[in-house]
This record gives sequence, C-alpha cells and structure tokens, in this order.
Amino acid sequence: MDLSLAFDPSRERDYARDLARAFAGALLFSLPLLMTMELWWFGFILSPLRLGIFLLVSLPLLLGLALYAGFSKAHRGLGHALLDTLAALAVGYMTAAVVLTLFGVLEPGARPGQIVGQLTLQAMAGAMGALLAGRQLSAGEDETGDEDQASYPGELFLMVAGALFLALNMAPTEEMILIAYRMSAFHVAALLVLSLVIMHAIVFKVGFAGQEAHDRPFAAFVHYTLAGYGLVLLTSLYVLWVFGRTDGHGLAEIVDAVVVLSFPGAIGAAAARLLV
Amino acid sequence: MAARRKTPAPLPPPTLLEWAMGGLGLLLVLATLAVIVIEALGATEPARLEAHLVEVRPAGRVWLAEVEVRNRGGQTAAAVEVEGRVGDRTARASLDYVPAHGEGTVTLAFPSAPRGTVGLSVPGWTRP
Repeated sequence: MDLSLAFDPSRERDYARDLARAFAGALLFSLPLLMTMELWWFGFILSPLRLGIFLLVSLPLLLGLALYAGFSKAHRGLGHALLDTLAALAVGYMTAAVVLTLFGVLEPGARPGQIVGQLTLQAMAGAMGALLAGRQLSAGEDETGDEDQASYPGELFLMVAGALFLALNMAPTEEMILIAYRMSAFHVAALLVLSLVIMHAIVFKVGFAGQEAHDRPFAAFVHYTLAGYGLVLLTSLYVLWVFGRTDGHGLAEIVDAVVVLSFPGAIGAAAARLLV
Repeated sequence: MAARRKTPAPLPPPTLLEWAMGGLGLLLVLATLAVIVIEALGATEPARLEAHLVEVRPAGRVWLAEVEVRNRGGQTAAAVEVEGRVGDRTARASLDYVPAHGEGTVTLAFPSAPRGTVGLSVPGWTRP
C-alpha cells in the first residue's frame, strides 16, 4: 500500500458513502444492545480487567472481519484493513455516544471510567456491524466480501464471528441464566443435540463444507459442524464470562448456560455466510 | 481454494477521510485503554455510602424530601436501601445501583412537614 497522502474528490466521496453505510450497519447491529439496560449497568459493574480483555480480544477479531468483509471498497490489503478496523471503531464509539446521550443513559457528571465502560461495550458491537455493513447493506451492487477465498481456518473464524454476532446480543440479558436454571439435564442434552442438528443442516445448505459434504459426509460433519460447535461453546463461555454471568455459579450451571447461549450461537455460526 | 485467488489490482493510497477516521479510531481505543488501566490500578476499596438531604418541599398533602446518596468507595453498590425518619414516621426507597464514586437520588415522602432534621441512613446494599 502506498502510504502517501492523496486527495481525489471522487474517491473521498466514495469513502464517505461507505462510511455512511458503516454508520447504518453499526446502528442496525448495536441498537438491540443500546436498548438493553444490563449493558448500561455493565459500564460500571464490569471490572476494568474484563473490559480490557474484551477490548483487546475484539481488536484482532475486528481486523479479521475487516480482512474478510470490510466496509470500504478499498479494504483489500492489511494496511487498508487496519484503517478500516480503526475507522469502524470510531464509527462504533460515535454511534454509541450519540444514541446513549439521546436515551439519557450517559450522565454528564459520571466519572470517565463509567462512560468509557458504557461506550466500549457498545462500540465493539457497533464496529462489528460497521465492518459487515458493506455486505449486509450493499444489496449486492458491489461485492466487498472476500470469504469465497476463505481457507479452513478462515471458515472457522467466520463461524466464530457469526456466533458472536448473535451471542453478543443475547448474553448480557438475565434470561440466559434464567433459562438455564429452568432446564433439567435432559432439556440441556436435548438442546445440545438440536443445536448440532440445526447447525449441520444450515452449514450444508449454505455450502460451508463445499464438495466434502457429498464425498465424505461424516468427515464433513466432524470438520465443520462439530469443530464449529466446539468453537461456539468456547465463544459462549467467553461472552458469559465477560458479562459476569459465570460468577458465583457451579460448573454444572455454567455448562447449562453455555449450552443455552450456544443455541443462538450455533445458528449464527452456521449462517455466518449469510450474516457475516 | 488457492487456485481461485484473483490477482489483486495495485492498491490505491487511503483517502484523507480514511486517514482521519482511522486516526480517530486509534485515538479512541488508546484513550479507552488509558482509562481502563488507570481504573485497574486505582483503589478497589469497598462501597461506602452516605446519604444527605438536598431539599424538602410540599407536594399536595405530603412533604417530599429529596435525598442524594453518594458512593465514596471504589466498588459499585446494588439494591441500595435508603431510609429516612421524621419523628416516628419512617420512609424508604431503594436504588438499583450507585456506581463507584457516583451518586443517585431518591425521594422520600412524609405526611407532615419535617421539623428539625430528617434522620437519614443507608441500612444495606448488595454487590452487583
């Protein structure tokens, strides 16, 4: 990438249009989170350590999304992807700041740590939406995605991104653990099997596994559905931990909650090619 | 898969707006990290809650006492109970959260004008 500064009005206009779409994507993805009161509280409940880890884990994930999808037409190449990632974060922060101010959630007198906490959680989700806006809101007019070229690790990465796409929206709510409390061991086992069946069906319908599905169906199940579901379980555990939903729970309760959150996670992962 | 890879066109340099947005994003991330690190290094003393009367005003047949609850500790307090006594009358209210180094306001209603002082206390709270 040429790092020189260049001013070309038509390209600036193109980028501004991409940027507007990124704001729309950020809103589309983060509005459910912006309107969830648990997330406002997390701003001052979450420990700085977890917030820091959440931020640092999100950065490579967003960079990966920028490489695969990216919101601007010129996202190809690591340099542009890096700029896209940072720009998407700026979009996420600005969207969260404006919407939370309008909702009266951001208190002017609050200490910086509280405001930063409230904005950072939302900004990561908004940045994810911004990076996916190019694909979700372009109606196919200009294909910005690269994931047809995805390698096997790339496919698994897309699955994790898809799982996060849904899990992030649901994990903050009280309902995740409430549902887990209501379920017996039989219910949990049944939900796990159902998650795998649905995931397998979508993975193959959407064509994640490609030719392998027809040649060696069992190997494809292990390679994509099982591997993907394993990653979904880990992703769910991570998200629940970040939001403090595992605190004070025994192993069995944590597993129950992970399986519950992995249900939407598995659907998100399997449909990653449609969502992400 | 590798065989399908398109030959990439030479990459154009980033536009000025792209640089500006990238720089803004970097600035926000670094500022966030700075605040998080300062918070993490700061004291984690437990929540310490104090209630004090802001004002008392009549409202129809009752008198309303506006009470501000301040958390001088480094941890957030949840389900904060606030109690006020005037003579033998007790009024109670609760706050969902009082953030660390933050404040919340409750209103207590009394049937008659509080003569003298309103006895305020914060009897208990939970850790979120």
